Amino acid sequence: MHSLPAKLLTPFKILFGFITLLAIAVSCTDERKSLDQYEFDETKKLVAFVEDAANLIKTKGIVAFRDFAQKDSKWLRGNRYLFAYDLHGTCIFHPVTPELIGRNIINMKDLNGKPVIVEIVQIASNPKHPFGWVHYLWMEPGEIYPEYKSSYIMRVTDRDGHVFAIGSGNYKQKAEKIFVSDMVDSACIQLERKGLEMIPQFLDKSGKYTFYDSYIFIIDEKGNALVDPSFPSLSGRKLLNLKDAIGKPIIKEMIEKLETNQTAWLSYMSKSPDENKPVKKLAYIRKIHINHKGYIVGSSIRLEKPVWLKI
Amino acid sequence: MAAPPKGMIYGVDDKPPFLVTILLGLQHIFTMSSMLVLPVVIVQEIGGSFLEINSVVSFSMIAAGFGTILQSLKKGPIGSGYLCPNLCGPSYMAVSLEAGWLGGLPLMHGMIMLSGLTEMAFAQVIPKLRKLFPPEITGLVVIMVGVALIPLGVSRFIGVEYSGDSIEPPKIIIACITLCIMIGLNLWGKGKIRLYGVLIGIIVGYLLSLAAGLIGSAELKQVSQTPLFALPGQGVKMFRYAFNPSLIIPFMLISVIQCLKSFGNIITCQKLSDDDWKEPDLKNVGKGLMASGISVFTCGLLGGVATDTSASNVGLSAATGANSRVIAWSAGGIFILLGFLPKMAALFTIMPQPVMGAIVVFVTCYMLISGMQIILTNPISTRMIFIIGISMIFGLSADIASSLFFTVPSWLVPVCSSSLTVSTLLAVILNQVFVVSDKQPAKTKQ
Repeated sequence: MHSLPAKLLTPFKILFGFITLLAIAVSCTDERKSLDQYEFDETKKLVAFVEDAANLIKTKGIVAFRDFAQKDSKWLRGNRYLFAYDLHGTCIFHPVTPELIGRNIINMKDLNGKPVIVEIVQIASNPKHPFGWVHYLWMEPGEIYPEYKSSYIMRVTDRDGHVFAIGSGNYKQKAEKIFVSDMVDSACIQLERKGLEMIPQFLDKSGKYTFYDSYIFIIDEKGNALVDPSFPSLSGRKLLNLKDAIGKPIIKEMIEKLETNQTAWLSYMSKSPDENKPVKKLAYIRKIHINHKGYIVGSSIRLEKPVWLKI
Repeated sequence: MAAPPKGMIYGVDDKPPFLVTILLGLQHIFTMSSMLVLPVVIVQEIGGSFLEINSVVSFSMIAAGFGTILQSLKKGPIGSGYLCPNLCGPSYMAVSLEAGWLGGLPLMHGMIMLSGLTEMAFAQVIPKLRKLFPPEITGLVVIMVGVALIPLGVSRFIGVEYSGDSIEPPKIIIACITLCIMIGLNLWGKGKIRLYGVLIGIIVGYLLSLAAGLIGSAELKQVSQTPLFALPGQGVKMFRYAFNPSLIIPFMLISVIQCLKSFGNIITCQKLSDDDWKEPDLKNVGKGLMASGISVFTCGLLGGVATDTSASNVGLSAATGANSRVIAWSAGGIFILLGFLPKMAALFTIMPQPVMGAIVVFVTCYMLISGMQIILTNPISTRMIFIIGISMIFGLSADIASSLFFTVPSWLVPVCSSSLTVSTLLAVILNQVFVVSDKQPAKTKQ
């Protein structure tokens, strides 16, 4: 214990080798930027899964669908599977419900009346941003109770020029921050184009501006609710002095945050009529102007709590 | 200082060779780093920027390192003289978040400073509370400190971070292998092998995780994109503090809970250092709590999150047989240095879940058994059966059936949501009730 024999250096050699190996791994890392924006592993895995499938279609063409149909392969295991549609809504591939293949199901709706296939096709048809998420209430074949499902959609063109919208989904997907920021940004684009005539679409629970318990709200610059889908009958009420479950003046804080920024995130404890405990939520808000009047457009998600954390 | 107990390779007063000290310090760094996720989560949840996250993490590391060294000071009125490292403890997480939501980082830092002052005040009182903490109650506190580690340890071991996450066999296999290596080297390893058992387990766990893809491109990219050197607080408005009267009670309550946890940790250190340990040295505990309070105050002052003494690291000392205070200087010094070297710090913070789970499960065994040994220092009286039994039953109910306490007033939530606090408060009260009813102090021998 008092000397320093050469063998004591062995742990250092092991440690040095370990750090070197980590450094090599760092330098060789395959950066997949598309995954950086997601927080949860399940989301990253799903996006990587769809991207891998898209790459296989690009290289192998429609033959890749044979691989995707192999049971117990990485492409078809448990309730993880791929689906594909053309840009007119005709089902090209669906290993779980093969009777859909070849049928045009553009009018198919989820249990809330949301036109799911229309949304899938819209995402894949977007020339600048041909990928994104669709959230819907779905009943798997053989199940009794429906569950929320979130599917990641990508447009892919194979080597023969066929264009597909491919995707795969997670049940009970945890809400990612990007889900609400994308929804709010998209709502703002439409509001700036079409003005306040968009409001009925934000109140439509079967529309694209709602998923799970997230929806678009709009508040004017004086703190009055313009769109409040949680309590539609109370639209127009003055919310300026609204406080959350722990006394935080959330509307005043939203106005304050957007004085210096175009967008902001704001966390608060939500009071819910059907919950015993306040629920932690995170809101994404964006400032826009319509007819020279300022508005706050936003939406919020429940913040997930790690199982080991008692808050 | 008492002679090192059997089974300890380096006792508290020993001075291991320099390189050994560094390696043992690194072993503690891995455990201390496992909680660096907390400042990230706190700043993210209150909508803080990337620069603010970096700043809070760096200052938390510097303050924790400082606290670790301060705790190891033997002479003077501050420090218990033991290897009892600090880390960003989860105890303060809930109230820190609440402060962050209400008034951002300035309010969080201001209230943390207040907590530090509360801990320092409690440190002055604790030596006078000898009658409140006989060994049986002290042992209970140590057990409950170990119990508090269970949710984190098991969730990481199983690989389930959020409710509904699927259980993946590779994660559990890696956690099992890592834990088996640590246990195997601890059981059958001799001398140096036992000293480095946890470090070897961690390295194998990292390599297996790398092979299994658990350290993915996102984590590796996080390391590669982090600068090698950075001054903490760059690009962030520093030294801003705020206070809110509504948060004083929750923060002070958490400070007392935190003191109880540190109390348990320091008692464990005392026992590790003395085979003939019979009862707590409360003067020494008071000095330890003083160091902990100053450390917490420093966290707020610099701009980090609150730190607390680490039960995991105390368990690690017991497991490796090395609790020399010199290791605290090494671990604390390296942690402070890492506050200025973000890239190196990132290598520790990307620790895979199964590895972290294996470490926490491994060291929790030591905390739980250490607490039981303290309780059983003397034969248990019938009175103590009920004092400890009732306190454990209602204390554990805060963890097992937490929904029971949903409707308590918000200021009581920090108390009722902590099994450590509920059981300690009950044990102290019941012990005093028996003392009063018997007209004599509770004695353990009958």
